[in-house]
Amino acid sequence: MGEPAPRKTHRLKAATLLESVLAMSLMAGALSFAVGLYSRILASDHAADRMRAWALTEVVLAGRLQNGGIDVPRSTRFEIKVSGTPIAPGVTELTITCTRGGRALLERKCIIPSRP
Amino acid sequence: MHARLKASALFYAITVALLIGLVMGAMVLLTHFRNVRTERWLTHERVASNARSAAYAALYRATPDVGVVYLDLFGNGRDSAAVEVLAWGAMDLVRVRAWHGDQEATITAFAGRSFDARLVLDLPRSAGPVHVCGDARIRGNVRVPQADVRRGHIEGRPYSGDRLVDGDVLRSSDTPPVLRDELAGRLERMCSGTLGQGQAFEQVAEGQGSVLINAQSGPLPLLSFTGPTHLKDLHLRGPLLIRCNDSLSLDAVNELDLVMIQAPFIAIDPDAEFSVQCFASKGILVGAGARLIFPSLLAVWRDDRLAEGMHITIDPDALVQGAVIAIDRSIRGREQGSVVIHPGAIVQGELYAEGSVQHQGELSGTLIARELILRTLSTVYHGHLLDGTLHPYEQGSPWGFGCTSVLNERKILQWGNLRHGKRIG
Repeated sequence: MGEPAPRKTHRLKAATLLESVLAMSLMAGALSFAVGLYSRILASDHAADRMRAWALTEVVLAGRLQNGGIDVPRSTRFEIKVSGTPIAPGVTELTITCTRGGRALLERKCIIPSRP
Repeated sequence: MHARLKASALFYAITVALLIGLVMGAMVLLTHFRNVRTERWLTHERVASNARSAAYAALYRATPDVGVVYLDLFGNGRDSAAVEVLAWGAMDLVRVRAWHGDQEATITAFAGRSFDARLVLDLPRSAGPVHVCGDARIRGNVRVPQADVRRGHIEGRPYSGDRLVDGDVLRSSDTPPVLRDELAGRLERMCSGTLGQGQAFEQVAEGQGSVLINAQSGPLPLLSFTGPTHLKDLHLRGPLLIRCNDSLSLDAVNELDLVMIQAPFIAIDPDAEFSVQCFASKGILVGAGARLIFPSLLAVWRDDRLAEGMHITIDPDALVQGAVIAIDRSIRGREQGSVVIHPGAIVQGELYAEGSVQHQGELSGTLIARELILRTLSTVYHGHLLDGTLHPYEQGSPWGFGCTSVLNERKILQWGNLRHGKRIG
């Protein structure tokens, strides 16, 4: 009787050290690329914030047109500044600036009647 | 039996790296498209906001009927608008096209003036004392000859209240309020059947009467009729002018919004609900229960060549929100009363009459007239107010057509259609 044939385990063949190092480097590179991309591009995506900021400016504007006052909506996330400059008798140019964390999200200018 | 793929660590690493790359690439693309969509949406909103801003700015920078004026709204060269202001009856029609980037918005607005709400009744010195009878009530300040308001008794109806006037009673002014020159010119022209100066109108087919007519640029649409006409099944939103060279009656089934009507005599059927400016030379009849919602105007300028007097008659339970103006400068037929407000009828806004007014309904606003009269079957009583009530305007700020003072603030009274589109030119 000869020696029994080696048992087939369907396992991967052991890779060389070089192959392992290359594979780990590639994975590390891919992951760092993903993390970098997320932190630089995706996390700085303010599309939704800009839309919310526009909605807040609408609230400010509606209040100004209805009662003549400047009611800045309370928001824990956004900071809203409103300034008005008379540009002609009876009309005012209103500038509404919306920031979040020191970053300017939106600046909206509009002309409205000075009195409601 | 399948031959299995032999995989190595490097193969797995490349596969996973590619997957990560694919997922991240997809996320980057999605983010990019979301940003693009957001910017487009913001531009979309911005041009609409700019169009409204330009309409407000136009009230102070542009005068009617001088053509298109271009505005650099905020002085940065990026937010531009083209504005055109046209005389539209007693109002101004403001047509605006604003653009930013590759988008534009067009909007129409109707501008008018607020009216003076300090007085509820203003009569000239020639009117004589005011006799208050029956269930008449006056709440608010009045300006009457010699500051003389008396308790009256007429047709067996003594005054039923306690105080004659719940407010200040002032002497008539030496210079009674008169119609603004510019408004007078417009009304005289419109009531006599002529069109606005320098305005282009385009006849539209009657078949188009049931569609929304685009009048945001170019000539103003006009529907013209000849001979006595009864209009039915019209569904129209202005700006649109309906003209007739004879009596015109409007059925209650019509839907008219921001429409101007010009005819010698106009009858609005009972229970109709419109927003219209009516201009006539012989008279206007508002049927019982009809509702003319803001901004509506009834204006009659009597043609001096006609022997018979003219009337604006507002039947019981009818409502007029806006203004009623009656100009009768003829000395003939004054006994009949220029404006007759029947019991139960309501006027909200300003009533200005260069003629006499028979008021038995409810007026919330200001009544300026040559005199108050009461016409019964047997006689005509001058200086009498029977059952009519007068009280200050209570629906917010006194918007309207501001008939008398040039100092009254100009305002956008009503916004029309807003449309978005790709910028052209």
